[in-house]
Amino acid sequence: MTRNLLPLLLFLLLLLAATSALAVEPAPAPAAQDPEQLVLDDLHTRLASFADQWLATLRRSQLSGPGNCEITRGADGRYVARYQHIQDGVAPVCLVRASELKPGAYIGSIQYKVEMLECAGDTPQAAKAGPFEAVSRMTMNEIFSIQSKDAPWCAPK
Amino acid sequence: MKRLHRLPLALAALAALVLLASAALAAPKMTPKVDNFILFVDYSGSMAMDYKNTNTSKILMAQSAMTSMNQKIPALPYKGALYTFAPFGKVQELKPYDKGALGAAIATIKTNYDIFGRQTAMGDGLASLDPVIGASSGKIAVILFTDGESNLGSDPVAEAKTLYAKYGNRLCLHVVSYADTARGKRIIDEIRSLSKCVVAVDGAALQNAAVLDQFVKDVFYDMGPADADKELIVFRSLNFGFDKSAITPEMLPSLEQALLILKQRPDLSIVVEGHTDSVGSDDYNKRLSDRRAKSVVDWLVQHGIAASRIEYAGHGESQLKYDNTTEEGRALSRRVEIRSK
Repeated sequence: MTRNLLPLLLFLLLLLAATSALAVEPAPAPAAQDPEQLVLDDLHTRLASFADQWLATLRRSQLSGPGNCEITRGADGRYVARYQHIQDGVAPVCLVRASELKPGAYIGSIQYKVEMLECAGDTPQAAKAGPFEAVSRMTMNEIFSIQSKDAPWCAPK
Repeated sequence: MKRLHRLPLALAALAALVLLASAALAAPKMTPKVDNFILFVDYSGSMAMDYKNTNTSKILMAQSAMTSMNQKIPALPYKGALYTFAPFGKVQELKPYDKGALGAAIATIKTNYDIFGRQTAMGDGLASLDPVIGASSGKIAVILFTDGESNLGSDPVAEAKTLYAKYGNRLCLHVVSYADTARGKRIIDEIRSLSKCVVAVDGAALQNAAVLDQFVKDVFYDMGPADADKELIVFRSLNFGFDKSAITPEMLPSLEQALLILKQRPDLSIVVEGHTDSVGSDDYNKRLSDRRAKSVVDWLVQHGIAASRIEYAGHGESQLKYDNTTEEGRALSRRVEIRSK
């Protein structure tokens, strides 16, 4: 009797071993696709795209530059030429969130750094001639809002 | 006779010393900006996938970036480490920076692994890094190399906030982004926005030598400009009507954002400044911008900001920042700003 059962037992043991080997801890279910999170994702993507254009707009229109510096005279009698410029090579940081005060509206902010560059010289011309060095940085935080999730982020008119 | 021969030699040695000293004085001094840094690499399945339309995996790009970065990091007295998350692991513990040792550690990062089952627990990874940060002293820069995907475990933005709440200005979480999904990009930006110390750079941009040089300068050593803890908030959607200064319902979301920022920084005293374009008389523009700045101040005070914290000023067209010969420039000029004092 035992000998007749042996193959069955061996088979069952093998089956058990094989099942254990194949069993993989199930991966956790993917995070629920919260509709509001999807809206924020979309708004963020659009704001990030708009941010690149926005910085280009600012660079195009800003008056301050190497050819248009502010000149001041220090207590030591030397002249200092300075201008501001948007820092290159660094990605703008974009944030989006739903407005609480006006349901349905959304707020976007674009943060980037502006550097102040200076050059000192014995004359205004010498100061303007450079070379300029960055002496400080400031964070710019530009706030936009749209009245609905389908509205485009856009420059002021 | 022997004494006469020694004199030119002594003079030459003295001259050499003077030259060396001058060179040392003239060379800009590199002051470490941090006492410690941790390279923190996302080792998840999504990082093993190709970045956007390239044929290069994100993990390979990250490893390459770290290798190049390590070459640029000057040998200054900080400690360096290399950790991974998803899964969390120590590749090199925090120890006095040695370019060769860190380079060898970076070289051990696998760039060809099975993506199956390797989900991204970024939040858990940040939480696991807490004791490592806690065991260090002084300032610490954590440089995350990640695509921002976080599909398991705790919320990475919440964990980053917890770390900042615990370590304050001692800590800076820089993120090198390989994000190629909307969610990944948003998570990365939310982490970046938590501190002004952050240097925000994308992984693809770091392949540019000049960008890499600037990143290393900004993160590791202090030869560059001081990062002033100053912020200028510019409202771009306060669309006042012609000759109008009243707050309208459409303006509420923008004002709400400024209110949030100011409530988060109760130490800040501010000036609200109105600006106009150059159309119209100086006097008219000054008065209009004054009224508009006052409207914003009144709204902020009504919503809980102490009046003692705020001043206002209308500058009209006296501080033009943009080219007013174009409509684009004039539109940029018409704005209200909040400047920290």
